[in-house]
Amino acid sequence: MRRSPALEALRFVFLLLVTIFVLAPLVVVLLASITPDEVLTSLVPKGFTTQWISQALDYEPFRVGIVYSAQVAALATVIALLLGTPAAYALARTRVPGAGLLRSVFVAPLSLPRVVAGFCFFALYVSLLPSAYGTVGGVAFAHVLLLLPFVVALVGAGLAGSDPALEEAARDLGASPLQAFFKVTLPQIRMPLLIAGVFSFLTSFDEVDLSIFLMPADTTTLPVAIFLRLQQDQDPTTSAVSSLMIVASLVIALLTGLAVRRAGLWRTGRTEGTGE
Amino acid sequence: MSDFGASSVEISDVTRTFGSQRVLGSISLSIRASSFHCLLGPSGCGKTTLLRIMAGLDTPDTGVVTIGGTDHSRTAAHRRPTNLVFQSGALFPHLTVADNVAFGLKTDRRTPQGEARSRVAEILDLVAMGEYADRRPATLSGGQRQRVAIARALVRRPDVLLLDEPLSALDLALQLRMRRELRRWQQETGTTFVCVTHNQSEAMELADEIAVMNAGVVEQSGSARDLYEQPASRFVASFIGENNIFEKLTPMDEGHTADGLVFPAGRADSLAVRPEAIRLVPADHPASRGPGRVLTTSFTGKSVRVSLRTSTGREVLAELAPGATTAQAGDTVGIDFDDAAVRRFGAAA
Repeated sequence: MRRSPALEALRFVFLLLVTIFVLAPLVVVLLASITPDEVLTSLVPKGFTTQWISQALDYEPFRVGIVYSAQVAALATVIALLLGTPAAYALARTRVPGAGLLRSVFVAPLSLPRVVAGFCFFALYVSLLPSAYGTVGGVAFAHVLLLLPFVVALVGAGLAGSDPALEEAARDLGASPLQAFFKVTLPQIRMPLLIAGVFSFLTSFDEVDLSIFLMPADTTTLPVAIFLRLQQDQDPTTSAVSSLMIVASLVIALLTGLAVRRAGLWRTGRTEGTGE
Repeated sequence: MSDFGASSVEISDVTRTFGSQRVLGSISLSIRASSFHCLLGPSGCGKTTLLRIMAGLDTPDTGVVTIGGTDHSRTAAHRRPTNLVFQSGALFPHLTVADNVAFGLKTDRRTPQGEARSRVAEILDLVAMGEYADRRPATLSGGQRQRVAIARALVRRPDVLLLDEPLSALDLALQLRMRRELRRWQQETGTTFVCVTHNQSEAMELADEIAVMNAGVVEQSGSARDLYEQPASRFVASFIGENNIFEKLTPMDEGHTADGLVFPAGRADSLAVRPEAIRLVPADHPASRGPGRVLTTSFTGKSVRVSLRTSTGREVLAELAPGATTAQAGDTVGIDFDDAAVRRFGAAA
């Protein structure tokens, strides 16, 4: 069917507007962090400076925050994968009584407002676990609650797409159930695991709403540090650190995409032929 | 090829129920060591469940599975002296052909690496897949994948090789070729092969012995010839080869009539006559057991197949030597067969 030129033009304009809408804030922040001006007044850079970036990296709360966030995100991701993968496996491959209920329980945190979740953890830590407040472990534990639904859903979808007969074949060939899982099932779901891991890490690294309840103002994760600094000072240092986060996220997303494409090679090109 | 194993399998009173559905109702079966045994039956008859029970991938509710004289009823799949070839092949997509085949040698850690390599090469040569050792399963054709699946199971030198519809995903020409190869591999390794199939010609071509299953029970077990010539039940008579089956018998002074034909005396619920046992005679011939109108005739090379309709409208198939009849569609002829050609089922059994 031939599209009319008017429709083509409309489509182009629409896509352009959406792209601008998505990218504009990012571009503004990126420009602000490399333009010498204190306040960005034009979209055409009037020079180039790394001043704001080095200031951001020198700013103590940001430096602490980057390390803190990375630790929290790494720990939360590892825990979420270690808990979520067996949960997804049990739901996909075994007959658990009340599987439907369990599935709902794993998804439930998604519908809980994060501010409320944050306050719940605050109340829990203050009343019962004072030592967890403001620690990497305490924050990471709270983040696991947010990450589990994604891990269970992504890994579950991966398991649903892999042939259960492969695992039986492994056991038939002498592998114990544990060996069969690690040697055969795990390689089938390594892409969903990678995606779940990357997604978990980025989500946790970026988390503000819940985290802000769980740490004192002097030692915070990076996003919380950005939030707190913005309340006092609006200079481009904040733009600079945000730019760093944008670039890092894009790099990670790009690498993940490449890994997924490479791994796809032994899946695509599958010949479903029956002859020789 | 002398180190391959071979054990007998003894199945006694095995039952299996899924929920409220009884899939296997008390199965007993003896499988001789080094024989090629087929479990033949329509889909849903429980043959795959029985095979999975032998493999240890399913557990019977009751009953005993003895392999090579040892009770393996409660042995886990990975500790059994059996290996299974899955219907889908179930090749590991992330491993090369050689690594797929080597998988089962690495798990038991008893095979030294050098020996494992030579055994993988040997078995891939047996199934003519040696030159594909470094390929991934996704790049192979259906027939090639099934060869690798068989090699992967055989390389462990199981006492019993279990095959679940190994040829059903292949096109017909390839099926016919692989039947001969399966038979040859069984003879060269001397391993006991147990093969599930719903295809009676496949079972007859492959097996030393066939167990015909229906609705969760073994109807009859025997050689292809036994089953063809002496079917023990109406089901076996209709499932193995072609047969004309007659029901609703009406007793006469001497014998019965059914569907407009006269049969010899004897108690039975149903009667069967093979197409090749039927002769066509002139309609007024004294030997005629009843008239039949010729519907179609077709020449197949080895025979002429004539489809007839009796006076009650029942269709009868006759398979005659070429030249044995000149009957044309529309002719009315007499249908004749020897008393000895009639098999009886039901009341007389």
